[in-house]
Amino acid sequence: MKDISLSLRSLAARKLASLLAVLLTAFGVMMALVVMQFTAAVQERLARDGSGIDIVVGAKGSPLQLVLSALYHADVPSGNIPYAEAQKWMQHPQVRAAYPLALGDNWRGFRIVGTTVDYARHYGAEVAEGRFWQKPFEAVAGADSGLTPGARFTGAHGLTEGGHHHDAHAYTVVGTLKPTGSVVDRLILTSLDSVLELHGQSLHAHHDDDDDGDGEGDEEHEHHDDAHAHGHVHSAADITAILIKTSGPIANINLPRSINQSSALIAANPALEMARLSAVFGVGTRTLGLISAFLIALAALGIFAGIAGSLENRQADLAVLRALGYTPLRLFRIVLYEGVFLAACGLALGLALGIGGYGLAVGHLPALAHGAAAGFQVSWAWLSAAVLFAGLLASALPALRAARTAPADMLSLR
Amino acid sequence: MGILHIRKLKHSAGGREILNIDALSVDSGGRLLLLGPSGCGKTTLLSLMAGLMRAQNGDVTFDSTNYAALSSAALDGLRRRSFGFVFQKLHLLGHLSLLENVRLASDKPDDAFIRALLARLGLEGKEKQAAHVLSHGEAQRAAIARALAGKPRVLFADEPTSALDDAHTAAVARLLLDETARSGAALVVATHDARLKPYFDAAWEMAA
Repeated sequence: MKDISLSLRSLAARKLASLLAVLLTAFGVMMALVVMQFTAAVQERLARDGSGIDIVVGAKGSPLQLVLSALYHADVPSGNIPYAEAQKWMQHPQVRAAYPLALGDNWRGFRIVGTTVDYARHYGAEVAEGRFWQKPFEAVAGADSGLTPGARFTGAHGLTEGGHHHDAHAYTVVGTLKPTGSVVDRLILTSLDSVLELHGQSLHAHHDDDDDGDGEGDEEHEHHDDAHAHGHVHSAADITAILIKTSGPIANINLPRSINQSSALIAANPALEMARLSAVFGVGTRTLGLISAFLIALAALGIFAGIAGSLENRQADLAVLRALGYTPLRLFRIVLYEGVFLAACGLALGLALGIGGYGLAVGHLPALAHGAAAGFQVSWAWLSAAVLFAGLLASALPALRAARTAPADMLSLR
Repeated sequence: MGILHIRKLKHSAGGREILNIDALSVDSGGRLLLLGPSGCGKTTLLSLMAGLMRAQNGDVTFDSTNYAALSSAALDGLRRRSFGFVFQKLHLLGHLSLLENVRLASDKPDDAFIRALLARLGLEGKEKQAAHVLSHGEAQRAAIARALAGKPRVLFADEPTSALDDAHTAAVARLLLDETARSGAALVVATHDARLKPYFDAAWEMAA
């Protein structure tokens, strides 16, 4: 009989304890794995949504809120900024690219974003069906919205479901975007004009044919079709924020400083703000990580207790094996295999549950649904090694004790 | 022809000398009965002869090999290759089957030999039964089968009959004698059971 079969038969002889040890290990591994996958997916997602955007400019208020609202579309904006002021900075020599954003409405929770086509292109969004907008109230829908070309919808005021509907103005979907794995998937994009007109503003007089011309000239007109939707006309066009890609690292430092000093706007550095934020939610992640480590340690303790406890009843068996010529090393191995086998089973089950469970959970989290499928991560190898090592450690002590069984113990055990 | 020799053996336990033997030999294929009351040191003597325990003073040699010259692993190997054991409490591994228990005695069990052995011991058809459900008689014979399965050159038995009635004692004694005679193994039995005396040509009688 092979030594490993002796180990397995001994485990099979106490099925319940073995099963419990395996389950405990599996839960620890599963939890660690879910935390690891979730953290990786969120970080990847944040990195992708924020890639290439060096500065976010918006109304005075919390820079973190600004970054969350304008870049990640995960918060409400703190206020509006005059488009004229915004344009001054968009044309700054240290700006390589700038995407103006006008927020305010949603359709079934999908934010309607007035912007330029370049914003979509920044995230690599390609048209899946149809085309980009060409005139106001034409919209392009992100992959998750479920809208199809030809559909008409009206925006509801606010950024979450259930606001007042702008029934007077319906958007027409003229195109849909391929999934990008970025925030664009959850947005409905349209021209700046559409959003501003809807809220009683306009960027320019009808005779203007582009939207980046005259700063102050925008004031007084009058898209009457929506003026009556709101009953008043704003004197100046406001947008919500600008996303800026600068010309380089020096501009990253200088430009926000000039913006903050010389205007009523604030410039936020997304990398900095997110670093601050993750310092906060990192505590949560670390806590969950610690809990999984604790669970795995508990599982190791369970393995230890199971094997050590079984040794009490196996002294005679072990002494018989010694008398039959089994060396101490063989007894050590037999007992060690038991712990490693339990840990390995728990690990395999935990990996399956962790990967499967995360897949299921992510199905209910739209924000992560189009993220890259959580593939193998180096940290998984470390986790596996740690669990097997814990199993090894948990059985090493009982194994040492087993190895110390003297063959003559047999004779004192009558 | 001696195969196992003891020379000038002294052994103490708890500050009391329990063994002091000048010379004792077991012939190849011979039979030795170590007879004496509880506490006389016969189990210790059996352990020393079988290499289950190391001698404090003096020499034990088997087949010209002095145990004192062997490493612990080498002594384990010698037991595995050359000795078989029957213990008073049998000590089969309860969660293993009868056959698995018997096969434990050797790293390369001779299955044809074991089948024939089990048939002679009346254990045919019981091979797959878990050891813990065997009757006492079956377990006794299974233990004897395990002791013989590795084709030992010496079979050591410690109190093999102390819990048995006369009829069973006779049966077990016959089994041990017949099987060792068949394989040519020497037989060493340590017991306080004087009923075994007639089965042996000579007894090494020990006093408490």
